[in-house]
Amino acid sequence: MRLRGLLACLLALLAAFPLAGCWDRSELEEEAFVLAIGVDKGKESLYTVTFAIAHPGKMAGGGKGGGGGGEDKPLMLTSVEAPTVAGAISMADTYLSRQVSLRHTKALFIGEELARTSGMFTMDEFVRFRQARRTIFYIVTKGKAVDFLKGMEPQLEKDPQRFIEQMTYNVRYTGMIPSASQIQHFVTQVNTGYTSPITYYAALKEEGEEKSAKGTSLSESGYEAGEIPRSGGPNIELLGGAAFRGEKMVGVLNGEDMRMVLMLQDKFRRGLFSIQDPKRSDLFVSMEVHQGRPLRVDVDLSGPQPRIHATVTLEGELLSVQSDTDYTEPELQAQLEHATVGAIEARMITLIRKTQEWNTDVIGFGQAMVQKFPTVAAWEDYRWPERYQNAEIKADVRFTLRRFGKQLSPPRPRGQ
Amino acid sequence: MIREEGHIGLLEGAVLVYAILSAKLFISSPGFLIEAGGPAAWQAALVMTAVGLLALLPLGALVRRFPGQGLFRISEEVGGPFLGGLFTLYVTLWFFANAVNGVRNFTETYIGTVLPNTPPSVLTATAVACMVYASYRGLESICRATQVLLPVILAGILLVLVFSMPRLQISRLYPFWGHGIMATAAGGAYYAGMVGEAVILLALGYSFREVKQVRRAGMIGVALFGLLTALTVAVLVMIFGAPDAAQQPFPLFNLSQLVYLGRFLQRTEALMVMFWFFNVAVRLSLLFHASVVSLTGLLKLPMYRPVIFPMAVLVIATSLLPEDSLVVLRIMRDWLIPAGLGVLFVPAALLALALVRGKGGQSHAT
Amino acid sequence: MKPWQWLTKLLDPAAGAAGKQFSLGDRGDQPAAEDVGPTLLADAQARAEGILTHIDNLLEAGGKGKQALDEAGDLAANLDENVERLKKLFRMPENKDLIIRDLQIATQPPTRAVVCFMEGLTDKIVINDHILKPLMLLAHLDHHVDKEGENGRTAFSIDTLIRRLLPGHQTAEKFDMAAIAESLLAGDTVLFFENEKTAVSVETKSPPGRSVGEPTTEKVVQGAKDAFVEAWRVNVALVRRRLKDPRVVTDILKVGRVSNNYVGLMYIDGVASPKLVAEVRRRIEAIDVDVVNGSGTLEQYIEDAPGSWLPGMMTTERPDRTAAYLSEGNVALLVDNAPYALIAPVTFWTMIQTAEDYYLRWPFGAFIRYMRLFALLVTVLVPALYIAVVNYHHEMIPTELMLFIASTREHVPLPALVELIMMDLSFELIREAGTRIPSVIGSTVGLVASLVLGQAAVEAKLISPLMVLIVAVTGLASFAIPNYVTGFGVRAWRFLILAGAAVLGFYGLAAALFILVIYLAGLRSFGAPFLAPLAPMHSMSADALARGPLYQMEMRPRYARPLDQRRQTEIVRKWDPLAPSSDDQAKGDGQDEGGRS
Repeated sequence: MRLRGLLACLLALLAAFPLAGCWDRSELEEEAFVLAIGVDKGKESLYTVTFAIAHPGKMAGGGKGGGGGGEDKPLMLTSVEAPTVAGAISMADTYLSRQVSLRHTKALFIGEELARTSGMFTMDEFVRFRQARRTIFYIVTKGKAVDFLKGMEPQLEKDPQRFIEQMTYNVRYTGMIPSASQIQHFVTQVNTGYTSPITYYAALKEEGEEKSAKGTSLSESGYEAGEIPRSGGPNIELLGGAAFRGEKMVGVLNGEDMRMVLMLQDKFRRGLFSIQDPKRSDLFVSMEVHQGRPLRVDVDLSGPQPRIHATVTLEGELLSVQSDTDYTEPELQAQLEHATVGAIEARMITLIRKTQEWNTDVIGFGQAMVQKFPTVAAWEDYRWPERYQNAEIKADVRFTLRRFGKQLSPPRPRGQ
Repeated sequence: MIREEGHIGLLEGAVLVYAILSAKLFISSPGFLIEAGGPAAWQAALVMTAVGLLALLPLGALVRRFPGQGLFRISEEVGGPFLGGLFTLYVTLWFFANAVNGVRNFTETYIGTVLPNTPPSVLTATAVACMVYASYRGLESICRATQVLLPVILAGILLVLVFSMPRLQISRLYPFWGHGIMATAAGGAYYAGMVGEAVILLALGYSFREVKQVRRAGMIGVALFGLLTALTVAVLVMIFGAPDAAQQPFPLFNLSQLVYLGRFLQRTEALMVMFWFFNVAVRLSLLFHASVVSLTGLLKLPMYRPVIFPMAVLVIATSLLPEDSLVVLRIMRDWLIPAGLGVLFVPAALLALALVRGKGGQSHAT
Repeated sequence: MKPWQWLTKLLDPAAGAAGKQFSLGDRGDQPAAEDVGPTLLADAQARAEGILTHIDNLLEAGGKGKQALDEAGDLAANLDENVERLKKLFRMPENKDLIIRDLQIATQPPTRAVVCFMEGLTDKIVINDHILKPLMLLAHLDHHVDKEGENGRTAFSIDTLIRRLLPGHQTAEKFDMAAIAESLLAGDTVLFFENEKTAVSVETKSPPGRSVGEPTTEKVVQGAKDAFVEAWRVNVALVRRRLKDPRVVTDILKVGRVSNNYVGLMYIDGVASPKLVAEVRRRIEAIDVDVVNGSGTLEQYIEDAPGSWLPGMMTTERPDRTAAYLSEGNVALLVDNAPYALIAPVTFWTMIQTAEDYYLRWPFGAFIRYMRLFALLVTVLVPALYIAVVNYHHEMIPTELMLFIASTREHVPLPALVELIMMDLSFELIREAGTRIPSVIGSTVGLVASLVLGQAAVEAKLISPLMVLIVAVTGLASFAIPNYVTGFGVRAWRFLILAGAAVLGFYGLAAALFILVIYLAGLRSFGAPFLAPLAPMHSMSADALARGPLYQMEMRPRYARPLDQRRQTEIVRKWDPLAPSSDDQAKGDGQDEGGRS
């Protein structure tokens, strides 16, 4: 009897193996892995969804398959028109030999036009669908997402998604993009309402056009994405950010503004500033600036308008001096620091005015405000988002030069 | 009566209580707390812990008056056959309902998150097979297995919380008092029903080596659970924000999907899901075992093993009753948790009756 | 005619055959009844004679006191009768192993005696010099032996004979045929005397056997290199030289009706729990089979759960490990004709310990223990993890690696699961073949062969390259488990968990693991919980999973419930300036609880 029982168990166990094909099991080569999704307003239907699907043989390089030449793209792009993203997936499944899988999707590109009109929550799939996760990067593209995806040429990397991912790391040393913009940040910020989101903003560099700097800033960071005066290199520019109010996009911030935003969010790590030389207005001084003390925000709710006073403490290292002034001397150093403070504060005021114009608290002062309210009901009664545009916001910058590099006085010809 | 069970000690008891309670963290319980308390949900969690600890005091005293006896014997002795039987039936039914709800909830969670195409009957059958086997081997086996698996269970929660640290934003914990102190306290007290499983110590208290360890084991387990709940809820609020987190049926799973540390440690939620399974399996096994043992006592049967198989079939059948995954959650929130509050007060009621009627040996109290 | 004969023989081999082809069965014919009858009849007659003689002796000894009754066996007072019975019992003259030699003891008057012994099991020099020579040649020198008896005949006392004439170091008086047979089969020499109902056995055992050599399966780098042999007396001696304590007890039990194999039960009286010893003894004495001829069979007869995946007793061929376990309160069984000792009770952690852990410094000992635990986890989980990740949870693989795997798998026709099982089975095949190759490097050759095979299979596009790596790592890890039998159990688990993972991904893996842990948690080995001291949680003396410093392992492990818990004083290295001084120690009373429960 026992033997029979054992045999039955063994048979059941052996039967388990063939059963393994029945439900969730799928081999790697049976799935089409979408690495990036682009969403635009559709012509015939609500959306045009573009899938960038990885081509394993060409992308993996090496191996026995052999890497393709320059004209062989490692990604396969296909666009579908559908009322929802899920519908687009289902339609794509019909003409692809493998099943579309969103498990490795890294980035979501939204065309600017769509972002300005209908916003995020009509694409509920990314929150609800189990394959999509909230760590997907949320990037707004200048122009249509499908054009962006078609035109992407990373050049340094084979895999465009790795390229994008690594580009997002440069916030640590330039500070010109948002510190993080994944779907999770977007959704949480919109949902809780303490701040409004800023997302990555990307554009393709058009060949042959070199636009001049926008605005009055003479520094190197006052450009929007796609407008850096350069030639050569990958044609993707991820710079600045797209500012949202709620779920709709309201404006574009350039690299300069993004730095100020990061400083006011206490997330600025380091970045290079070139300011006008206080002694000679046609030359520049470059400094690497990083954050000193943490940000301090004082909120005063007593008056009719809320008053916010933010204090930013920065430290710097002198990198280059073009004139022959020796800024290592104490009075000249103080002058330089003063000039830097002035320049940065001016840019901060520009930024704050921009955001107040758009009436959106992307900087995140709401997070400091909410700490003054004891209950949720009180906070909701106060209606901070509506009061933002009339708030009195003052920003103070403190700056100290700490290090001066390997040279004290600039090397100049003698006798001058 | 059921002497083949073996003996458990203080640490085993505490681990038992902790494991049976902490499986709730992986389904919607944090969501409920956040719904009730808003940003101050962690305070609600602490209130819940306090109520649970309070309810353990009469339990400890009760077990000390009737050492070595299970729930059925105590309630029968204290309340007479009819009233005592009612108490036992209430608690047993509550354990059973929790086991059933747990099985269904677990099936829905797993299908919803990692195994979409698998038919629910397969998952249910596997879970019930684990439960049946564990209950068959006895309480000692389950306790020892829990002890062995404890590092894995703790790692399942703590790793997720630790890896989510880069995303924490303290400002989301404000406004500090949430919806107000009264609302928080009321919510916390209501959800104290979640700690009702601590009464399993009453049902299984006869297995302890020393009676005075029962209360201590329960307190350690409940305190640990309460602390971890407060921590989890606080982290969830800090990452998702209170309104969003309340709308997630499995907030910890979403949290584990967010783990993103550099290029290597990404998308590891399936591994966390595996760690959670151990916790869920232990909880279901213990609930099932407790209801089987209590039912055996109620029906005055000499052995509990034959009751396992009919009960298993009953569990599978009842677990298919709710229509969809949300009904399961609502059943838990609107029925099981308030009933759990009642279960928490059963030891107090029994103790009061025992004092009034003068039953039980005080000399045994150590 | 010769080619014709050859042709007929080819066509019909049985035609010219002399007789029928031999077969043990009856092929439909009636069995020859007369073959069996006489033998059984002779046996029964011999037994009946013995019983009748026994009754006679008992009647005669009745009323003469207890010693007389004890000594009333079934030997007759007639030398020839006794010898005839002995010959019949030992199936002489067909059985040529038993040698019977007549002699005359040189007493006055001379007495007839017969010396019997089994050739091959006895030491001939001892028989010649110390039994035959004194009796035949030197007895006349000793007149105390002669004595006036009743009826005028000379009778001598066997007692005096033994004390004065038999210079053998162990002698015993035997009163019945069964005891005499047992003694002869063990290798003693038995003497029968004229007109005496008592026979004398002298110990002359010298069985053939191996000399002490090196261990074959439990090798250590830095430690003793002697191993058990088949002669169990030598084994006991090997253990005893390591535990020179008078409390070390060796009890001798016999198992098997036909084999009568000796089993030595060793324990330290005062440390080992008496309940444990009594239980082991009880189980061994309950064995009622014909043949038990090795430690493996004995183990299966007395284990708690002979069908379990893991063994309930440990088999070791090293005397130093046996001595160590004896000193912790365990019981050791040394079975004759098996170069192994069986240790009871054991826990799961015993199966993954080796002697080397203790001979090294504790950080390194702890390190290799961790490596072994890691190897255990690897060998059980890695194939299942691979299948679960590659078939169910694709998101866990980093994107570049996943794309690479997908690209290599495009050329492979088989699903991943089939690949894995194929490779695993071929690995097991190579492993088994390697064990049977008659040389010690067989395993190494097998391993290399498997890797080469794997590489060839990859070139033939039958399997993907990652699979070779996985199977090789898993196989290597399984070699790191010291206990041979546990290795089988672990390999079986691997398939179980693989089945779970193949059907339901990580969830199936977790369910299979859970069931496994529950199973382990409920196992007991001679009353000790199998997972102790992890569960139930005894305060561990730093020895189960990892290894602490040797001088801190003061208490014996609790799972065997030893009577004396402390095995070291609290401060062992008193001379060390970093050690706590003794007056500090008086404040806090050592480490763990001292009492038992």
